[in-house]
Amino acid sequence: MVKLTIDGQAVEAREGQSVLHAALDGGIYIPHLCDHPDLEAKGGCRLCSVTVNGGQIPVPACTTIVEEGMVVDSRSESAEAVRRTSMELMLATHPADCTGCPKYGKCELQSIYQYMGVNGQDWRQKSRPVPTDEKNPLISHLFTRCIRCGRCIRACQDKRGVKVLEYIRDSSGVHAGVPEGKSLADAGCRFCGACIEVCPTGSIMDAVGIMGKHQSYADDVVPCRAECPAHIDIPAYIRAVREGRPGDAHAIIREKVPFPLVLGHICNHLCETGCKRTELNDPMGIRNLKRFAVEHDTEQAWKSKGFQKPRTDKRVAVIGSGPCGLTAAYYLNKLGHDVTVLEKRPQLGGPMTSGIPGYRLPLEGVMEEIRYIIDSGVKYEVNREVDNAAALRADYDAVLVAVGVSKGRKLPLPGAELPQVHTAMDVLADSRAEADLSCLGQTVCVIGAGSVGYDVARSLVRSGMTVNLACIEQADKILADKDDQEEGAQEGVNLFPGRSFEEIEAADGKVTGLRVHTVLSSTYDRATGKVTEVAEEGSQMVIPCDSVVFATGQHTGLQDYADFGIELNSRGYPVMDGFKTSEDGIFAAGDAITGISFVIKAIQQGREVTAEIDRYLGGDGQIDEALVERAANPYIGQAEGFAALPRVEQELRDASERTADNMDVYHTYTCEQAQCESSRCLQCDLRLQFQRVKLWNEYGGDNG
Amino acid sequence: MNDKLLKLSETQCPVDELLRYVRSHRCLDCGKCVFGYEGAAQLELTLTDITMKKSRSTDLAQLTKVCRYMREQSLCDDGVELGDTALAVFEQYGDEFAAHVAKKGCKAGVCKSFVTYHILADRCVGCGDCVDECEDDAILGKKKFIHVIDQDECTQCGKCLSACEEDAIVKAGAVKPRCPAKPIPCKR
Repeated sequence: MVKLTIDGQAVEAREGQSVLHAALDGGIYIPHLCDHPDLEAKGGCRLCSVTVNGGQIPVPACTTIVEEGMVVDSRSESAEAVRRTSMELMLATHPADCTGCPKYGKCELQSIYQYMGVNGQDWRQKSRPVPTDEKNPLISHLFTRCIRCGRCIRACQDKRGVKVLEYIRDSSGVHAGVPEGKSLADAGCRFCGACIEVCPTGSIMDAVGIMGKHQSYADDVVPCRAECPAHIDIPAYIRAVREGRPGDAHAIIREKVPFPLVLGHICNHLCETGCKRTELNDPMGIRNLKRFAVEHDTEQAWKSKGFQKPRTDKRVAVIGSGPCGLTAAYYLNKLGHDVTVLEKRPQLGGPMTSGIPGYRLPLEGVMEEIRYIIDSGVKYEVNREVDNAAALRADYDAVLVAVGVSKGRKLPLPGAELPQVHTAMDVLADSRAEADLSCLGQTVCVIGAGSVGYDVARSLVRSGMTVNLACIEQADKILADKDDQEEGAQEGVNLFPGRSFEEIEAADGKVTGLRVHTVLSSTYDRATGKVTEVAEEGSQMVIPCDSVVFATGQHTGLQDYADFGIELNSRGYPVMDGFKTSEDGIFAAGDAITGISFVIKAIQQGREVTAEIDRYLGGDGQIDEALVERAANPYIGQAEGFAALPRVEQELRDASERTADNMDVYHTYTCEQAQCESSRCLQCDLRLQFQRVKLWNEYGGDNG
Repeated sequence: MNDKLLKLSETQCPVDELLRYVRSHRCLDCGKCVFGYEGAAQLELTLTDITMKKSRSTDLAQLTKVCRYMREQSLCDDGVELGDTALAVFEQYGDEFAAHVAKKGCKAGVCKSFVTYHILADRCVGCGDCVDECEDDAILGKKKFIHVIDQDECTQCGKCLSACEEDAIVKAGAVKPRCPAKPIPCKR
């Protein structure tokens, strides 16, 4: 350590540290602008001027290295004079309309001149107007406000190695910018946002509409991670894939979810909706990279990491073994509790093993992830239906109701009670179990074209049936995602959109067809559940079929029990207070409280309810774990044509080939594809490595 | 330091020469330090105003101050050199700068705003050639009258000077010739 005196105060500094940072670390504020703690000091602004050892000529504190016994004075007359003059000169040519600036209140220049109490009025005043450039995606340039501190240039050149920003001279004078008037994309910008992060004024900012969508600054900067319900550290695992470390990528995913492979296949990837690359071309293939990482993790090093708390003497029963129930069971066991999962079906997994078809989610992968949970010490009973949670509670310290929404719902159509009329849930379970489906006949009408409707339709096509898929939504309003619609059509699913259902026709007690008419428009009132439609006259027709499958919604089925032991609302869902039901010690989570949702949401519910149950049982509810140390290299270097790199899609098998079996319709990325796709990441998270520059009012002492 | 600026001829105005020097100086292309760039910018803005008769009484003091900081606080030798040069020019040609700032005149007759044009009464023949040439209608007087330049309208373009075959029109710096206030009949 080096001992010196700054403004009469004894300060200890690191060897080689600058006087400025020795002062700041010691709680002594010295104004500074062109200095940034993460960038090389240049000494251009002279705001940090100090006199040293009684000398008369001020020197910049940022480029002056501490020496033993040094006596530094930041408030000497000559230092103050240099500082004031420098600030006056900067302000003389800086636009004066602070209140109209988007950086107002967060601007370092504004903060410092207010602290110093100076203005530029003694000098010739002339702002140097530069046209604001909003044409670049993600980054706005408002260089009229540039004060030439060069922080963005140093960040772009030295810290990132992208080397797009430079000092530019044009008719307005000198400012930071892209040479030759090129757009950021054409210049090879990688849109990492480092320039935005270090700009002290409102010259380089996030484009309008990018920030302010989330609860925290970090979430706005890294929206993929924020949008993921489980907040998986997406940029980190994409980086691991790119650097050839799929095992680390798998471990990073494992930090938040026990079903990486399942999610790699069927996640609804809200992360991709948040991906900032969408502003350049298409979002990252985040889900596909997840699948690649899991399938290429040969070492499984994550298994030896993570926490396992000592055993408690608490017993927890989990009703239902879907993604929510098993996630909760996994973490509750890690927290030391004795967990038993009770599943009414013959196998664990809920929709992962009895709903989602094999062509989307291979059974073997799901079973492997479930096996790991069981092997970690979770007990289970299958074919065990619980009809009263309160009775079960008598044998356990806590009960979790995670029954999902496994009961299909039929529309009240005439003929719905016929034996050839089924619900999607039952058909999907039988299909997954490879049970006999001959009771459905050769031609099937599926009602409802959400993702479940498509799951049924595409599964039955694979069983060799002719499938007519009908729904009330118009063709452009269909609920299933585009991939489902396109691939379903290729596989031969006949779509009847914009149809209203009148009756299931039958002869001799056997279904013969579905009578429908065309609707020109329809609206669904969520509050009342009523559908209002405008029918097309004379459009009535009968779609011939041997059976009908309803994919028109699901419910918990809890109201079917005489008394489930907890209070239910009129729709059969538990009455909730957070994750607590009406009964002490009985919790509920997942689709059973949210209604039908996605696996990632159910997993997050499982994590959250775990924390709640653990606290109820006397624990701290802490389930966070780090399975991989993070080390992100901020020097991303140059990449020509980066902005235009096209999204790599997984290879889709031929329709004829894929309907011949029930295997995954997509091939995993090849190593080369994964490399290409992961290289497209903007690495938004690197921005958060930059330290935030503290303003004067954040330092203690008498700096005010 | 640029010595050429200290060896100016009688036809060179030190304010104008220094301004030209600043405008072509590397400091205005760089921007890496406040005193080099903003100092040069203040020199340019202020000297421009001085040559255009728009100076303020505090200008020389402010420029001296900023040039001393340029010399002392610039990041590289370019800024130091510019500050040094400017201070030397101020010192050597202090009277000239003072005359400009006091709006008395440009001795070399270079700074247009300080130059006036006059028609000498003993040479004017009242031909009207200059009146025809003047685009600003700043020359008063009919044919056979001694013409007079309306100083409020004159933009110092100098075209009348070459239009006059009698060499009756002259440029003037600080010392002005005596001329009639309004056109009077020409006796010649």
